[in-house]
Amino acid sequence: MSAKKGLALLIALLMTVGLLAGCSTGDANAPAEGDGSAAANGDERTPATFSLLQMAAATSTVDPWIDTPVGQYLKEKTNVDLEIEYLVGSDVRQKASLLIAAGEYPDLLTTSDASGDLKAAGAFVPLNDYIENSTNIKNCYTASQIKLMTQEDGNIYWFGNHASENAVYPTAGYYLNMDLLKQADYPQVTTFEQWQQLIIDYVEKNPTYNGQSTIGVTEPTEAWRASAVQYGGSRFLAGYPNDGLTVIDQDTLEAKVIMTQDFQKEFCKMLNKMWNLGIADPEMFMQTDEQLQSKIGSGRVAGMYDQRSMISVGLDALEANDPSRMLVAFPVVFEGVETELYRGARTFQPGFGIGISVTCEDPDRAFQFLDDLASEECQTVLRWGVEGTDWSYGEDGGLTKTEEQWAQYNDVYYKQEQGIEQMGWFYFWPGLEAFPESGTIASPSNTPEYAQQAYEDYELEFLSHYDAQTFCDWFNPSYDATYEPGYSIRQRIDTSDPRKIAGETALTITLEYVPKLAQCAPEDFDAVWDEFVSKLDDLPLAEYEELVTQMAQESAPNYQN
Amino acid sequence: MSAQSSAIVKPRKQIGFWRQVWRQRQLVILSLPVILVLLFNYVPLWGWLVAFFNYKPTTGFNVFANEFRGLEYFQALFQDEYFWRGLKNSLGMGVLKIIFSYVFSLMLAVMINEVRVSWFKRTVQTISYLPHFVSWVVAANLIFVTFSPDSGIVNEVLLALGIIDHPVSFMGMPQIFWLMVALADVWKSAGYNAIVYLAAMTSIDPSLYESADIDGAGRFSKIWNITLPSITPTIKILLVLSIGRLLSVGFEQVYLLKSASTTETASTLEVYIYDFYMKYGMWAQGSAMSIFNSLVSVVLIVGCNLLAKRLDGEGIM
Repeated sequence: MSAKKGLALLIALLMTVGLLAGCSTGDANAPAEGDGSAAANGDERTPATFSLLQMAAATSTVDPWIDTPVGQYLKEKTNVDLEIEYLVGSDVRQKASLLIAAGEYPDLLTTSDASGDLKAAGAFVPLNDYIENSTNIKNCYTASQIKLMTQEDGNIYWFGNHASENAVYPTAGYYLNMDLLKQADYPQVTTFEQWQQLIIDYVEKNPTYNGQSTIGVTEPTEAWRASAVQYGGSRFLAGYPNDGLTVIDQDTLEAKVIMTQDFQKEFCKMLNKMWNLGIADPEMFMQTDEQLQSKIGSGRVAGMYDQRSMISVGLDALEANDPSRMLVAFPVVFEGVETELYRGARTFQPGFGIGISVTCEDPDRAFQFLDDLASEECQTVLRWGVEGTDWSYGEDGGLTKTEEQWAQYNDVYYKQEQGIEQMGWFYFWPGLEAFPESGTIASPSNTPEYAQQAYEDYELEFLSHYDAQTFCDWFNPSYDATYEPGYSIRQRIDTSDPRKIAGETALTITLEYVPKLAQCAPEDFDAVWDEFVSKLDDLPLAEYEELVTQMAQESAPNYQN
Repeated sequence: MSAQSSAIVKPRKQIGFWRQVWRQRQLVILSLPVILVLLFNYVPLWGWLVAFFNYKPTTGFNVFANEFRGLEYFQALFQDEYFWRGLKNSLGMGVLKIIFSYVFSLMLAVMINEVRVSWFKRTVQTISYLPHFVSWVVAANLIFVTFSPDSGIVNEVLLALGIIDHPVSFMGMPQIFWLMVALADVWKSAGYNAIVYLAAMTSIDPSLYESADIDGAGRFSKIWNITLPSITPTIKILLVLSIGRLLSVGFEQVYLLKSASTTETASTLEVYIYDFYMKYGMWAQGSAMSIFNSLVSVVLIVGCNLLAKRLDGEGIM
């Protein structure tokens, strides 16, 4: 409260000082005349302080992030100081509910899974008028993308982002330990059966590692991270891409809730099998996300399904401790499924993003900051680092890094210290692949040079056994999206919508039943499954499916570029 | 309070209002707790209104701006199987916790009271009440690590002794979750609760023990016939008070100790209320349930007091 008041006072004071000094604070609504892509110099901007809530855990080791070289550069350029608050724990919607209950929001906030809650609570300032007058943001979105970001009431509340593709590591997959693959003589893993058998054989031969039991399979089961077992792992097996808790038919765009599908049953059967063989993680259904990450880091895990970005903390630790047991993802499918869509579509995600809250004292200045942030100059710093230290202009005018700078870019700790690609939303919003003005590739990790620099020696050695260049080689490539992804749709449906509540309730019930399904005796499995399905039958899930189908179909015209 | 004082002061103009306040300053200070209770325990009851409206948080304190729904949310609640399950879990865990916490803290107090070596007595007391000051967040982690099926110390010891053949997932078994919560509570609060009994025991007249000695009473006979009867009023008061809190099992304790595998027996009413508010943003339903929670508590307190009166003719209210 008092911090808020202090902030208000500070801003008021700064405004007054600004007026006295004759700076152009009078008409903050009109963006300052800039030279196109570049952010205007910081000294032309009124100094301001904004609070920002990142709906993600802190990644930078420097706290506050603004004290990193990249943060300092940004502060100087935009003349904005940020008070950043990170999400503690992993429950985004819980955090949003607290904010809504208090009615006090940070000035800027990212929405993540809580878009629907925050929108229903009226947490955001409409951004429509700002976009037209913006210098940079208007270049980041096409007309149809603007249409996609526009909510039912005709307003735009947050800026979505473009999901860019990671060419170095696949986004999700069924992971296997490198040591397992080595012992199995580097097989090409394609089917779910084969994946399971490899794990079973491996644990039988190697029951312990470093004095502790080898974990055949483990999965995250805490709060929303449980999505991996609730619906996340099974859809890929049946050849569907990531569409939230539904699968969407690629031709008819018809949505089906995953939890009751046969392929989900098969996934649970796998857990049951592993559990009854005694090689599943005995702590699987009672561990926190931190415990899971440390298990991954210990090298004891033989196999698991997850999205790479979710287990990056564990994988970084594993790479540092024990790279010979690194986890490698495979696009595993059921026997008879022809195509896999693990890597999904290169798509625009309008369902979540960054917005300005209604309790922000000076939304005009906040928008100016976002507009500056979207400039090529700021984006370059956020993703490439500081000019001179981290990159320089090459002969062709493009950005280059020396070998040493590439090595630093590959070093997680260096990036955390320097502030490069930290701050979740910040660095990848708006997430364009190339800057509209210069055509420079926005992310160093998408440049052709990076592909040659990305891998450590142990990875190159591993890849040589598969005769492959990247860990994505055995995955189907991404493609252009033809509809709004299901996860994006789910996030923006209003919280109070009974259909959304049905979907979320189904998830709660699923989280209760997955442990039961996994831990029951094999002969009881079908009975438990039937009981589970009958519980879900009481919910209006068919209406939820209809809603998602309708929204996906409505979005389709805006995805025809 | 101040309104009252001014009412008294008015007819006698010669003494100023503030002067009067100053004279009765002790009374004014005494009234502060009353104001605090009103402010923090009764004013928030305004929020109960939320349960009768289709409440949207955007309307803030103006509950009446929402659509009135009457008892709709209460009806929905009573038809909800998860509500009944929550009630069962709350009651089960609450009763078990009360029994365990009574038996163990009373036993501990009696035993400490019987110890005559003062340094030993103090050490035991300190060690036993220390866990009370550990936050549940830390305590829950300690408990998970201790009982972990993946090389937790309890399993290691039981395996080494040959009592079990393979690790048992103590914290992952829905069947014993209530018991684990009760035991965790004993570990954490028995020592602290024992202090109240110990205090009551110090006020027992030593001459009672002396005359019992002359009559040739043994140690157990003295405990049974002197110590326990003397602290019965204390036991009764604490019992009635704790029964009033029966349904508030200790939210953070349960929330931190529960996991995906124990959902069935770990979802108490409070966890459910929390989910309503925090996960689904269903404010009205959440409020309806917490009103129910409070009503049950009132009924339990009154009932328990009546029972206490019936048993020996004196209640505490």
